[in-house]
Amino acid sequence: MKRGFLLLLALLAMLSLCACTGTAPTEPPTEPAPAFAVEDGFGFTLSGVTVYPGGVLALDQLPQPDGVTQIPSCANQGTDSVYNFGTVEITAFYDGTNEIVYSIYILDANTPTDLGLYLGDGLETVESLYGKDYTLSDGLLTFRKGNSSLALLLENEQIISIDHRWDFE
Amino acid sequence: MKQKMKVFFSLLAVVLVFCLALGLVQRLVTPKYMTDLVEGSMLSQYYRESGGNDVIFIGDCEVYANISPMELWRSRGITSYVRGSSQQLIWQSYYILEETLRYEKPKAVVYNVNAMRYSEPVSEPYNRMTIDKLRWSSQKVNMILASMMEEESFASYVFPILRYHSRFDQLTGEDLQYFFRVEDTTFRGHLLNTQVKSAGSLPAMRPQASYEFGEICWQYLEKMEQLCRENGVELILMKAPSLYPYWYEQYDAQIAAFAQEHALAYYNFTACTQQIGLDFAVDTYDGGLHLNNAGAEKLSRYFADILADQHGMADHRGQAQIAERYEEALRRYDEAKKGQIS
Repeated sequence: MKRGFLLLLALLAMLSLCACTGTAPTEPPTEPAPAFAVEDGFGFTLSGVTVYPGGVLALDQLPQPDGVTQIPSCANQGTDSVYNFGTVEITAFYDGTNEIVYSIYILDANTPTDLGLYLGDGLETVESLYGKDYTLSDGLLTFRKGNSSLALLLENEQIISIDHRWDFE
Repeated sequence: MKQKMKVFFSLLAVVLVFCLALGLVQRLVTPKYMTDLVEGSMLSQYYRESGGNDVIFIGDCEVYANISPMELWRSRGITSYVRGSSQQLIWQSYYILEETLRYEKPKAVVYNVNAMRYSEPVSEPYNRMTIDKLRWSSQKVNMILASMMEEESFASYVFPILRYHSRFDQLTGEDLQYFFRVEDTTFRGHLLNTQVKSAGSLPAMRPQASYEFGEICWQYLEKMEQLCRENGVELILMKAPSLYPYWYEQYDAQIAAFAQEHALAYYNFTACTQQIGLDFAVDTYDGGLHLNNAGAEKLSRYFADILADQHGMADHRGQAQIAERYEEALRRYDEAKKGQIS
């Protein structure tokens, strides 16, 4: 009984090593889909500089932030930096080389998106500026372009939150 | 017949040697979490201190950073242990509770409810840091099954070499130094950190599309309540006093309602930081996300009074055997604090 168990254990161990090896491909390789260009996404212009979700955060081109906070990353293991520029808050994670933007959140009711949407605007204004190709769930309207999205929170028929996001796969 | 036996025993010897080699290689490549990312070894340190704890704290980083069992002992003679880990999700907390109850029956379990906001696994590395070093049990099996993300496999938990084989070229001195040796990196589950980073600007409090906790979180909180009740253990809910991520009033209301429905005590310490005496200019090591040791001691003294006066936790300082063990641990704890500060 004992020897049988040991033999079974050895077999299991050997089988487990087989899992380390790659398997032969069963389908022919396909052409990779064209990469989505971050500049085609929902950018936001701050002091003449357009910042794109998914793009590198060029702090040297932007005004001095009012404050910076480090928080545990939502994007990866590590730490995110949240930059407060007064009118917007930009969140970025460090990918080892650059800080990559993944959220541009409007803080100020007098600051519009690049297409002119303000906090407090209604659905009609949203649709006139961005169209009707959005998803709606729990009051969250989401427009998508590739990995870039514009997330608008609607409450009592008014936009209360505007966030330009980069969605990680 | 003799020949056959010879072959069999030879084969057996080969298999045994192979298994031994596999075990040693696995031990080598599996992260030790002794100097780097010590959070990964915290839960397993409990096994050397199990038993005799009146209070067990369970939860995520807010628990192991913010609660100091040594201070609970120093101020009111309460025996306790913190079974916390980074990004510990509620289903993991449930199985940790179930496992703990195999080792002892505390008078109370305190669960930090911050993880109610996470109804899906967050990341594989965090799963690993919670699960890898636990002893094998049905609870560990269930925890793995409940926690696995799409890219994970059960086999990689049984045979860690499947997950960590790429570490062969990333081995450090820690892997050799702690190949057979393990050390306590916590003080009864509290991760000591005396650094100070004052709270400054925080991210904006963003309105949420939904404040409802996920159904799976409620299921596991119900299971936790039931398990405690069946075992004669008092379940106490707490929310640690962190400045961020925000504990919305809508979250607080849901927990308060659950607590009322089940006749449980719930302490939202984010709402009484002044009474606790917390000063986020000096009592936090990361700008308000977690308390440092000074802040943890303030919270622990405050909570010790609650546990003693309102939940009947006994003062064991008069019991020689317990006192001797705790006083020795307290001496090492105070020395470690001095060492970090200097």
